[in-house]
Amino acid sequence: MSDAGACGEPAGSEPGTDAPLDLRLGHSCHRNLVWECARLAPAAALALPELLREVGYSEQVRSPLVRELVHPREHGVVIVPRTGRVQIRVHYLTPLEAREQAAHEVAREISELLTRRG
Amino acid sequence: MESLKINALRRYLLEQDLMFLAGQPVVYHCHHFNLFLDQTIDDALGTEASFHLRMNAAREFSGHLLSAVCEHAEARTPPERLSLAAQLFKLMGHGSLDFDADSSGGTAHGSHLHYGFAWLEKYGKQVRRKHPADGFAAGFAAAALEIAYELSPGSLKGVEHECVALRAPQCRIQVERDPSPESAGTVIGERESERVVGAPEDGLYEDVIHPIVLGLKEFTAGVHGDDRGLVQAFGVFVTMHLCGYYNRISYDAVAHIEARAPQSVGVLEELLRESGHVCVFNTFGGILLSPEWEGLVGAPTNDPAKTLAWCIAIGRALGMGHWTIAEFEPERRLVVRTSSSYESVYYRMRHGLAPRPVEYLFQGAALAMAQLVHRVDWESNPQLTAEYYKRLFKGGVPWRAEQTKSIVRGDSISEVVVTKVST
Amino acid sequence: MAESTLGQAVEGVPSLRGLFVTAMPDCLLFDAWMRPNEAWSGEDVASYFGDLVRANREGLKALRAWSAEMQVTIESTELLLILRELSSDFVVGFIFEHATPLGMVRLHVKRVLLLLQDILPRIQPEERPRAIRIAEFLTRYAPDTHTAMQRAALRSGIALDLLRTPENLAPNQIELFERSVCDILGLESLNL
Repeated sequence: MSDAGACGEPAGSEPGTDAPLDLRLGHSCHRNLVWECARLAPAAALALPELLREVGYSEQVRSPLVRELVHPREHGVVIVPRTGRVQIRVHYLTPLEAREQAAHEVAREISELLTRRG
Repeated sequence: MESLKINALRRYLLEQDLMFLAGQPVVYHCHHFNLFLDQTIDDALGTEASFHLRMNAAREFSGHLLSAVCEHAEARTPPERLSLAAQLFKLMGHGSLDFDADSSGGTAHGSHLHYGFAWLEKYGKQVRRKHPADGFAAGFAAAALEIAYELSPGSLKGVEHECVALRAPQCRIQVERDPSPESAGTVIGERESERVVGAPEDGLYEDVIHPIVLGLKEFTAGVHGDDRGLVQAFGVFVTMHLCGYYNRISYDAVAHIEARAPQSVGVLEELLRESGHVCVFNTFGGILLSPEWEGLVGAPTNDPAKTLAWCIAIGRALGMGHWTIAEFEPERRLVVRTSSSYESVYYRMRHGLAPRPVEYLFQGAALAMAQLVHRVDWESNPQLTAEYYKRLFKGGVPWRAEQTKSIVRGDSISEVVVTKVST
Repeated sequence: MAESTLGQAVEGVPSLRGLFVTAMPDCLLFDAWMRPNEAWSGEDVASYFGDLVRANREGLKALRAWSAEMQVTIESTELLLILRELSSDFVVGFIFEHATPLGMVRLHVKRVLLLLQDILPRIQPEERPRAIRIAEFLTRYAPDTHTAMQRAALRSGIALDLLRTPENLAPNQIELFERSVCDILGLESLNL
C-alpha cells in the first residue's frame, strides 16, 4: 500500500535535527523517490549546476530551462533556475528503507556546496 | 554500426499529433496505464490466454518496427540486428534484453523489464502474483529473433519462465518455435494513418496550447531509457510503446468477450476506459507537478481553463492525437474533440466501422481531464497517491462522459462530452 | 456499548493510544476507544485486526503451535500493537505508544482484558452470508478498490449488478465469485 503521506511531510526523523534545505517528500507514484528542497535564491539556483559538476555530477542536457544532474550514485537533482526549485530524485533501485536517507545525503551535499560558495 | 538515435526515427504526423517511430505508430504511456490495461486483459481472458494474446500482439507489432529500424540502420547480419533490437528496447524504456539464441530460438534474459519491475513496485506489497508479467517483452524477443534470422513472422513465440514480479531475481524468456503461427495482419503505418484522420480543427485556448506542444515535443526528443532501459520521468515510469500492441489486445479482448460472454462486454469496456482514466490522471498530473513543467511552462494553477489547456497540450505531445477543446463551461460541461486518435486508426484499418464508439482511451482521458481540472487543488502541492486517487471515487464521480461522435463509426471527428452529474 | 464503558476500562493506562474491539468471525467493529487527537477509522482498523488474528491463528495451527493464549505483537516506529482474542467472539486490539516498556504492556493488557471479559456481552453472532464476506474481503484487500467488483465481474462472468447484491448469488455463482477474488488477490483460498 502506498504510504507516501501528505506532500510536504518534512524529512529527518531525528528529534532536534533540521532537514538540510528543508527537505520534504514530493509527489511521485513511487514511494519516497522524490524530495523537494526549499527554493533557492536566483543566484544560488544558477550557480548550483556548476557546483554539482565540480563534485562529480554529470549533466543530462535537455533544456536550459530545466537542469538535470546525476549524482555518481545515480540519484538525480533537477533544478529550475528561473524559480529556484530544486528536486532530488532518489534512484529507483534504492531500497525503500534507504530512500529517505539517500535524499538526506544529497540534500546535505547541496547545502554544503552552497554554504562554501557563500 | 552506429548506436541507435531514437530521436532521428521519431516523427509526428503533421497537424494530427500522432507519433511514429520508423513509420510505426507509437505513443508515450506510463506504467499505470500499461499495468492496468494488461491486468484488464488478464481479467477478461484468463491469465494464460491473456499472455498468449499479449505476446502475439507484441510480436506482430515489434516485428514491423524492428524490420523498419533494421532497414533504416542497414543492419544486415543477425548479431547487428539483435544488437539493434536490444538497443531499441532499452531506448523505448522497456528494460534490457540480453539474447542467447539462434535461428531455432533460445533465451532472452530480461533485467529491469518495465512491466515486471513496475508491477512489483506498484503492487508487490499488496498482491502475491502467480503469473509472469512481461508478455510484451516475450513477444518483442520472438520478433527480434525472427527479424534477425529472416524467419517468417509468427514462426517463433516467447514464453516467460521467470519473472521478477514473481520474486525471481531476474526475468527469463524462452523463445521457441510456434506450433500455430498466425498470419500477419494489415500493416498500419503513417500512410495508412493519414487515410483515417479528419481535418484538424482549432479549439479554445490554442494560443496557450500550441507553443506548449512544440516545447514538449522538443523536450521529449531527449527522453529515452537509461542504461538499464527504464525511463523515469515526471514521477512515473514512461514507455514509448507500440499503439498496435495496445489496440490489438484491447479490441481482440472485446471481440472475444462479445463472442463468449456478451453479458460482460459492458464491464470490460468500463475497465478499458478506466485504463485511460488512470493514465491521464497520473501521468498528466505528474507532469503538471514536475519541475520540468514548472521550468518549461509554469507552476500548476487552480485556473480550470489553464489547467485544461495544459492537459490538452500534454495529450498532443505524447502522441494521443490532435485533441481540442470545443466547449468548456467550468463546473458544468466540457467537450473534447479530436480529428485523430491511435485507437481509431487501428480500428478502422483492421475492423472497419464499429457499431458503437470504441475509443476507450479517449473516453477515459476526457473524464480524467475533467477531474484533474476541477477536483485537484494544484496550488496546495498535492501528492496524487493511490489513496488520493481512490478518494476520487468515494461517493461516486460527479462527472459523466459520453462519446457523441466517433471516427470509428464513420464521423469525421471523435467527440466526448463530459457533464456534471447533478447531486 | 457506551464508549464511557471502554473509557473506564482503560483508565489508568496513560500510554494507551487506542483500543478496538472486533466482533468475529465477520471482523466488524464492535466498539472502540481512542485518544481525542487520534484520527483513525475504527471500521478499517477493526476489520484488518480481525483478519490478522485469524491468519495468525491458522498459521500457528499449521505449525502445530496454536494456543488460546496467543498474542500478535507488532512494532512500528510510532506504535506498539497488541492483538488478543477474547473468546471466539471478539478480538481486542491495544495500541500503545511505541516507547511503552513491554512489561507494563503485558500488565495493562492482562488487566484490561479481565475487565472486558465482564463488560463485553456473550453473543451468538449470526454468520453473515459467505458471499457478502467475500465481497467485503475483496474491497478490503484489492488494489484499485474502486474497480475491484468490476474485475471480479469480468473474471467470473457474473453480472456486476448481481455481484453488488451478493446475498442473491446462487451457490455455483458464489463459487465462481470466490475463485475470481482468489485470482485477483493471488490467494489459494480466502480465510473467511
